[in-house]
Amino acid sequence: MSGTVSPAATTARAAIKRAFSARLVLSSAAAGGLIGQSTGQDKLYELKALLETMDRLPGRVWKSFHLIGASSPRFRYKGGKIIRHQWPHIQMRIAGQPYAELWNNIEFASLSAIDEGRQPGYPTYADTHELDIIVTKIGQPDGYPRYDELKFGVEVKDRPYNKELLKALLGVRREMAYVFSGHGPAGVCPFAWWPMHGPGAVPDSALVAFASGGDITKYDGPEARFGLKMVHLP
Amino acid sequence: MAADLSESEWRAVLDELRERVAALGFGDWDHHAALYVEEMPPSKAAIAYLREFIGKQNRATTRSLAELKERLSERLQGPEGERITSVNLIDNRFEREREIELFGDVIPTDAFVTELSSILNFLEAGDEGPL
Repeated sequence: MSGTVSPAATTARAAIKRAFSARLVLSSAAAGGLIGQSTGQDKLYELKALLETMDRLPGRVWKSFHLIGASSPRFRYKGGKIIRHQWPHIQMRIAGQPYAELWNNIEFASLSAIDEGRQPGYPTYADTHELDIIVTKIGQPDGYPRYDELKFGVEVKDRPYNKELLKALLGVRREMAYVFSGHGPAGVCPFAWWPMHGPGAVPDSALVAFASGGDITKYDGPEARFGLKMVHLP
Repeated sequence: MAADLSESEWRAVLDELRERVAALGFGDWDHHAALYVEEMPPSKAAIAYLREFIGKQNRATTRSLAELKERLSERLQGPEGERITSVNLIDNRFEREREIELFGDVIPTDAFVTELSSILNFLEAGDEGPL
């Protein structure tokens, strides 16, 4: 490489420095300090995915959603247990009747932990996994919901999609359910808004991944086999 | 026609972008964006990386935030049937809790998006415009 730099490269790099320096000054002065603008933006995307999930869940005509336990939804930086007196949830109603609960940033007790008789301690290490949104029955008790208490899960990534994210998604799905291998038809997740053609899961849950990167749909190969849905949410 | 940069200069532009993005606190985003562009030629990688980052920042403009707030108030009812217009984020790490209100504390990105879009336009078309 020669020692000379083209005028175009000089212009581009100077403009990049200028734009980011101005934004850095604003971000550093913002409320929230170490929570950071990037985390705030990621959580706003989780909110967008939550609203999209509410729109897509079956029951279009008679469906309504009601916040229970607070006057505003609360997102957690770090996922944890259901604690009903501390964290609000959203109650889904069909024709005015309570039908399901939506919780955000919840860790569930994994299939491998439950099947081997382990109760998650603290830290939970491999015995729990966080999902950005879960759907449970009405009255889901405090604690880490068991894998077989999850009716539906949602993972949210405001990121360009890639194989690393897919591998993590498949790992979480593996800890939510078994692939159906018995005789007769497997159950179909009642919360899935898409036709499920695969072998089904036991229990009959499903998992959705929302990502801002349009490439997510190129990674949809395992969808049918594992009860997944890959959704591009710009 | 893209800006007239050599391959090594395109790599330097991508490096500059990645350093600035990480310094702004988007290190995890950078990790995934780098995986997304790592097999592209240098010019395409730099442009794709910047385009994706602008897309992310576009979701926090004044208009995007207002649309999200409106959608929230339409879809979700409060305990007494009231409209919901705020969302809180709790930083629950390090055995403490700190709380921010997202719509109040996320700084709109309008000016940042405008500047980044001018840079993208320059890289893609060689047009210095407002640069």
